[in-house]
Amino acid sequence: MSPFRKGLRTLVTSAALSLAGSLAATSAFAVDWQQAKGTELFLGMNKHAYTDAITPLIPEFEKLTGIKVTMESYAQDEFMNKRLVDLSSGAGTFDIVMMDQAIVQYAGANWIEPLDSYFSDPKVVDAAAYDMADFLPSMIKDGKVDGKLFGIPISGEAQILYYRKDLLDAAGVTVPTNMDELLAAAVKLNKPGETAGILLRGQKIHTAWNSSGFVWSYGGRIFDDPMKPTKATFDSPEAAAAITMYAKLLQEAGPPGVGNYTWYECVSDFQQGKAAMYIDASVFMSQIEDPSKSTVAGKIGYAAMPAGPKGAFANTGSWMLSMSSSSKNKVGAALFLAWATGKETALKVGESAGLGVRASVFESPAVQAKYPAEWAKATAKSMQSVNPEPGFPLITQIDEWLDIYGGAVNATILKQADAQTNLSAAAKKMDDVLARK
Amino acid sequence: MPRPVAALRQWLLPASFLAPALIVLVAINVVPLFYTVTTSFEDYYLPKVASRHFNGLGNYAELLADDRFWGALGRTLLFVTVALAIEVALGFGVALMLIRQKRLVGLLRGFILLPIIITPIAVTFVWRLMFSPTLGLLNYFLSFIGLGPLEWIYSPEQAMPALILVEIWQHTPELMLIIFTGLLTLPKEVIEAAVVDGARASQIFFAIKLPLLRPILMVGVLFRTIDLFKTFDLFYILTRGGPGVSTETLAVYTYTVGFSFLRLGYGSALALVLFLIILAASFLIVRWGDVRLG
Repeated sequence: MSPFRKGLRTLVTSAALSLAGSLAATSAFAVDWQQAKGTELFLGMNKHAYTDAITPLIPEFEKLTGIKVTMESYAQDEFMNKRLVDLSSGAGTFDIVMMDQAIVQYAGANWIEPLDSYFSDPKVVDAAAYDMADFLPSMIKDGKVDGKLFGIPISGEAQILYYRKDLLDAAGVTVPTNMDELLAAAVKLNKPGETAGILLRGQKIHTAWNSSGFVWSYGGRIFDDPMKPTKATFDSPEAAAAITMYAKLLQEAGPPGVGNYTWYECVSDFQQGKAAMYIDASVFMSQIEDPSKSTVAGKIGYAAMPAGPKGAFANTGSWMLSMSSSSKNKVGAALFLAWATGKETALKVGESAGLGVRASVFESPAVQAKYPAEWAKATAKSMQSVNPEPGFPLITQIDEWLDIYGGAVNATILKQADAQTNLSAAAKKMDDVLARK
Repeated sequence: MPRPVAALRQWLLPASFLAPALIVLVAINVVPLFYTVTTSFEDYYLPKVASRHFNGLGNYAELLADDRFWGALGRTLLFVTVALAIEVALGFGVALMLIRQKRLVGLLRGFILLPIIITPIAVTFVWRLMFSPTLGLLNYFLSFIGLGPLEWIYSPEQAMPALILVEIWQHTPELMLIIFTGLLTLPKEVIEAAVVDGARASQIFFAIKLPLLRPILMVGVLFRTIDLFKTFDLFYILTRGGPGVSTETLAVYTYTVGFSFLRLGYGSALALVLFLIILAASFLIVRWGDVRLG
């Protein structure tokens, strides 16, 4: 056999072998979960119901993949500082972090990794079992920046109305379905010194998300272009009417000192029976129904966000998981994301904590059996609204918006001026911030 | 040529002993300070690192026109002067009482020093719980004597006094300790001579004890002033500068601009202004108070 022929035969054989090998790999759709065996992952998490729910499941992942997972969780403010310092410096301590609306900043600065290539790679994610289409559209859209996937949603929430069935029955008040009924009910249920008529967040940064839902329901908009904001429009007459209502509810039927109320004060007050109604994110149900922390567990009714003149637009939000660009174990991190956000794990989290971002979780009989059916219906209904804008504006200067816009809402609650005056001054400031390079 | 070698040796030996300390000092003090100074002359927005550039006095010009800065400066001065005045007065009062105490001095001193020993962050969280208008312990106790409910840190008017209250509770013992130690070192003969000459208690205090104590007292005042200007943990945990901006001091505003708004250039300029104010205040106290440093 001539050397040439011998070489040719070797070439053909090896080509055929490798072809067969790759065919076998693709046809089986088998993800090799053990491919990053022996590596380590470090997770930076916010103290959140999701973190509590995923923690006991982590050993399953470690067993499946042979990857050792270390998880640190911090109180929200501290977590955000740690995450900022670690990711902006490229230190690479965290492989995976919990992500919120700051995703726009983080993606824009290339601190987090685009995930599309991992999730389309059959070696990492089994697309059929993972079922990306199962994510609720309003949730998965939060993880995308300029069309690219930077975060996978893990926990979703929407504004709903919590109310004390016993107090409403005793006062002969029907469950409010629109804002005017809400105000009338709140005033009627308000007993100064005992129970407040209604709770809403009043602290400046914390009012921003909650009051945005009011602005949309009154036909207002926060910014001109929901995808590329260039000008503040939260000083429109519609928005001013919405904020006037938001402030009026608190001024006429809120608890004393509501001007510095974050969700923490609202939830504690509601748990201790200090208020008759409360509008906030749907995730607080588990804390309010927990008999070890709450004196009102079992007495709560749930309804969707009351409608404004232009409909009911409950704000929605999501927490996501993102991968740090400085991670030294990106394949391991991608495997974790695929496992943690996959159908199976999502269902377990849904059952144990009532958190869901996948349609299959909300439809699951186990989830529907374990949590108040009214709550599931109210949350699902509030999540139906296709909001005109994202839950938090898609701008890099998000914290300045929280401060400026939230400050105007806060000043209105504190009666420092009327809504229109405060919002107009704030919109002018916001435009300067947006114009700044 | 023996002389230059000897001179070199004479210089090298002490230098090699000093070098480690100096290198550490430069690395952790001088370099960051220098970096803050240069950053304060830059337009530096963290999410847009690429467009970071020198902009001269731009940040300082913005600062002069920034109402929020002036408001924060005013609140800082109010917080520092009121808290300091009360802490000095209370510190004196407690120290003078303690020095007359014959028995259980050690035990009492231990109790008085408790607020310094407890972790500040943890104890501030406890204060936050106590301040709650609806569920807090303070309003619960006030209700027994027919007062309240007060809104404490939840109202724009009451928030600053409430913060000063916590600050005084936490840090008066420091001044008390310094004054107490100072009183112990006063020469007895002078005071006895004054008593023999028929001086009244108030005369002894203002004409003898106070002047003799001044250098020691002023060291305490200096430390407290620097600390008060920089106070951050208290504000961060209790109010975050709110409601509105009613408790936003320079330290809080600097943090917000730097770490929330991510405007590191402007934040550095604010930090530097705060630094210069503290430097000026310290200089005045050292000069006026006759403090001997080292």
